Formats: sequence, structure tokens, C-alpha cells
Amino acid sequence: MDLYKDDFKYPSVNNWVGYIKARVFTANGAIPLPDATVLIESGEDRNDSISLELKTDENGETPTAEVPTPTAAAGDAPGETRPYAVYNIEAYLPGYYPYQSLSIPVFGDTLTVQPIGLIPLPLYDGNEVIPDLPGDGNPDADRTNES
Amino acid sequence: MPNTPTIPESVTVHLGRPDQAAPNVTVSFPDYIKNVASSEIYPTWPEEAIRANILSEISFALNRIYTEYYRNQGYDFDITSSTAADQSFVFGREIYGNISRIVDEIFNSYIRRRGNVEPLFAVYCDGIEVSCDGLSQWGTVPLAKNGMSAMEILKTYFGDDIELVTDVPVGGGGSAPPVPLREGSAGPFVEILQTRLNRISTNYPLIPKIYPASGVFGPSTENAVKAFQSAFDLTPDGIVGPATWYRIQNVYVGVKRLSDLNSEGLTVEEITTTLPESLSRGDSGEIVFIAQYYLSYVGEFIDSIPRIRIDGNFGILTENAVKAFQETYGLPVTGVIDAVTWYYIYNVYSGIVENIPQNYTEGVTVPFPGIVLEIGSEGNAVRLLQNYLNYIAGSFSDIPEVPVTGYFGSQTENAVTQFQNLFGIAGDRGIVTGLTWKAITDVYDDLYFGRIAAEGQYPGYDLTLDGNA
Repeated sequence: MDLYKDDFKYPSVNNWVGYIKARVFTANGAIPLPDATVLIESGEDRNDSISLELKTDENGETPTAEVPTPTAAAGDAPGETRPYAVYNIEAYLPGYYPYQSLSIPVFGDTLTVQPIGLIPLPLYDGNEVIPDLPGDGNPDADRTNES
Repeated sequence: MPNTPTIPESVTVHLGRPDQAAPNVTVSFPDYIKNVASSEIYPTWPEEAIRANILSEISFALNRIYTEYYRNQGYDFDITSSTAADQSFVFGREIYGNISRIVDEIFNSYIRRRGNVEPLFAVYCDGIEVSCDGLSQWGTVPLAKNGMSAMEILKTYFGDDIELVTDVPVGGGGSAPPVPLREGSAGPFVEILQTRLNRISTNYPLIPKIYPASGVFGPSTENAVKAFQSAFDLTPDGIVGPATWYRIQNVYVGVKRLSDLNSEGLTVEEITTTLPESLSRGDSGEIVFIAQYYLSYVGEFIDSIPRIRIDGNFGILTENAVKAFQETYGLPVTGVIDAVTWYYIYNVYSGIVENIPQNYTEGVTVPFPGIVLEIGSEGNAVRLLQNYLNYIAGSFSDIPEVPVTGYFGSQTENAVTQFQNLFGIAGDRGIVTGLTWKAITDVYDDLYFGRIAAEGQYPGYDLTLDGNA
């Protein structure tokens, strides 16, 4: 079903908190990547917007960030107001393609874990090697569901 | 069709409608369900509503897999991400902590109609904009709030004659121990647990090593289990029930697959950087073997490229992998490895080897880059050379260490000359041709693998139950 609609009439009322963290790895999680920079920013224009810069630990994990969200009960019934807040995440590590994911839903009282699979750069960069990767955070390419 | 349903180790998902050109990705079964549940419902719903929805999603997926619905139509995937055809799956999406925990607990359970073997084709829809002859997703919320359990909710929609099947056998590494493992437990299951955790901790260093790994579950095992549980969003209670057991298995399989591929390696004499001719379906031999190795390695890092067998025979699976590679890198999708495709495959492979943290690639040397390195050369190949030389310098005092700059200056030239003199390499001094490169990488490999054997850091490493399922 399409609960994560683009056309909610009203944005969320962020009077509560939710939690978000990222796990950065390569090779399908076989190799966690320490020291990656992870940026978390509000995905909408608002006056309570935040911007965080986190680093991954040896397990490839960032600390858990507390971010503004609507209350957990906001999503208990269908409605026109978005029951979650949206955040954008970027990740950077030298030697890897940068990562970006837009409009990640974060709910009140709930932990959101963003898996970030980074792809190593080819040996000779600058050779127009621009892969079209699944899950590279481009919502148009990734969210292919038609309903 | 198998006699009784099992939980597959992995699911291949087509990222589009069945007949639409789109990549396939292969993910573990629990990861697939976590993704579907995070895409289909809200994580803030009451727990029994979430469980009812997850059981429907598991049963739906297992039905597709058990009946080989897509495979029977000639497709090379198990299920699609199309909500019209199957259930929502957004590759790489965020996962909610509570959904992850519940799926780890119940991914090897499903519902079926009493008297039937196959998992229920558990149709569902949102119940507001779309209604259907199945479960209403929104409808589960008030039912759970009225105190109904997940099974009572499911019976409301699918009828009283459905039943829950639990402890379904799990593919890819053996089933969980019959009783949870905890401090004081002992025996072969504990041994397997310790072996796997110790292997995982090599890649995930915040998980402490268990020593001695004696088959007895003591405090150091409990600490390692708790650290694993914290790292993978499980309840950190130090007790290994099915959820923790299968999660460990899942991570272990991924970690080991990559290191197996590393240890297979390629020797430099196996390498040709230029192709004699193009390679296509029906070809066989050494050069196909090398191409398959590169593609397999790349496939571990790039999800759209399927895994293939490295056997030296260019069959349809290799052709599909080549096509997926070409698609990913924007090359003409021919399934033929021509000079351009070879160049890309080689560079992508070499880039991975160079860019991932060094401890994962020690002993994995990159083949001769095809250009002679000498005074004035610069770039990644020079940086690799300097890394190899420094590693060798650690054991041979005649060879000086050099700064790793990526620039081939007089210090690098001197180190190369010393290496050539020490190992009696023919040819011009201080210049790295294919012959010298091969000698340097050979010595590096020997040193590296020699040390691994001497350290013997993983007692019982070979005592695994892989492949028993």
C-alpha cells in the first residue's frame, strides 16, 4: 500500500521526538566502514529544522540522533496530515561514491535505521564510470512502485 | 517444488513490474521481509497489528517462492517490488527498529490453511483506497487496539481455518539450537556460535573475541553476544534464541563469502590485462575464469550484478552478469566482454581492492596495471606498489620503507632496485615492468599468507555447519 505518499496536504506537526541512525558498510554488510561522515538534515523547510554531522564507529554505525517528529499516535488512522517527519541523509568516505537519500520518514518514539551501502570507486577515476546503482538514493529511480 | 516449505537463505527481487526491464537484487529473507514491512505499514501501529501484517507478508512471499510462481514463467527472480503484482520493496530503504526486532523473531513462521501444505497466498490491501478479499492493513489497527492478537486479527480476514506454522527450517547454515543458549550452556551449538562470532568480530571489531572458544558459554561469550545484539538491533540480553542465532548466521555467511572469494584470489600469471579477443557465451578457459572472478568480486559490492560460479565456462549466468555489469556502468548491453567492457570490469575490480580498508585486501594483490612504472609515474598503481614494498620491507631489512604518496620518486626507485637485487629479478633496475610487479606481489602474498597461518587466531575456524541445511 502507499502509506508514504508524496501528496499529504499538510506537513507534519513536529512536537515529539523520534530516533535515527545510519549503518555504513560495503560488500552487503560484510565490511563495516568506520570514519564515514553522515549528514542528517530536515527534508522540509521549517523553522525547527536541524542539521547534524555524525561519524561512524568501528562497526560502521553512527550514534543515535534524536530528531523532531509528530507523536507516535499520528499514524493510527488515515489522514491528510503526514504522520512522520522527513529527513535527508548523505554519507561520505574517501574512495567511495557519495551517498544521498531523500525524504526518509522518521516516526515518533521509533528508531529508524538507514542502511548505507557504499560502492568503492573504480581504480582510475575520471573515466566517465558513472554507475546506475540500485538504491543510490535517487527516489525517482528507486521508488518504482506504480500504485 | 519442495515437499514442505522452508525459509530460503535469500530472495531475488525484481525491482519493477514482472515484464519490465529492471535490475534484480538478492537479499537475505529476513532483510527482504524487514524492507517490505517498513514499506507497507507504519512502525507506530500496535504490536499485534504489526505482527499480523508481517505474517501476511511472510506468507505471501513464501507462497510465491514455494509455488515458483515467477520461476515457472521463465523469470530469473522470486518476486517483484511491484505493489500491483506483489508487495512493496524499496531497495536500500530505511528499516524501523521495532519491525527489525519482530521480523528477527518470527521470520521462520507463516500461516497456511489447515490441511494445506503451502503458505497462504495472503492477499492484503490498505482497506481505505483499495479494498480486497483479504487483510485490510488499516483495519488491523483498531482490531489490535481492541485487544486482538495477531492470529485473531488474521482469522478475522482469512477465516477460522488458518493455522500458524512456526520453527520452519531455515536454509543456509543449519537450524537454531532447540533451546536458547545462555551462560552455562555447552556443546556443539556453543562451539559453532563461538566460531561464528569470532569470525564476525574480525570485521566488526567492537564485538570482543571469545577466548578460549571451548564450547562452553562463559562470560566472554556472553559479552560477545551482547555486543553483537547491540550492533544489530536485537535485545541485548546475552541469550541466543532463534532470532539472535539466525542473525549471527546471516552476518557470518556474508562475511565468510567475501573472505572465501579473497582467499581464492588470482595469481599474477593468471592475469592478462589485454584481451586476446572478445569473450562471449560458449567460450571457456583461463581468461573466462579470470573474468568470472572479477565479476564475482564486483558483484559482492554492487547489488545489481548477480553472483556467478567461477568455473571457466562462459554460460548464460555469466552472460547475465556481464549484461548487468554493462547496464550498471552505462555500456552497450551485449553480454559480450569486449575490450571496453574488460577495461571497465578490471578498473572497477581494482578500485574495490584499492579502496576498501586494507585489512580486507591484504594478500589480495592487484594484477599488473599494464603500464610500466618508473621515475615520474604517479597514480593509484604507484600507491599500491608503495604499499606492497612497505609490507615487504617489514620483513626484509635490505628494502627501505618509502612514503606512500602515489608519486614514483627516487626513494621508490631505490626500494624497487633493492628488491630486484635481493630477489635476483632480471631487467632494468628501478623500473617496474610486469615481471617485477609479479615478483613483488608474489613475495607480498607469500609473506601475508605465511603470517596468517602462523598466527592461527581462530581456533576451530573450520568447524562450521555450513551447507548442512
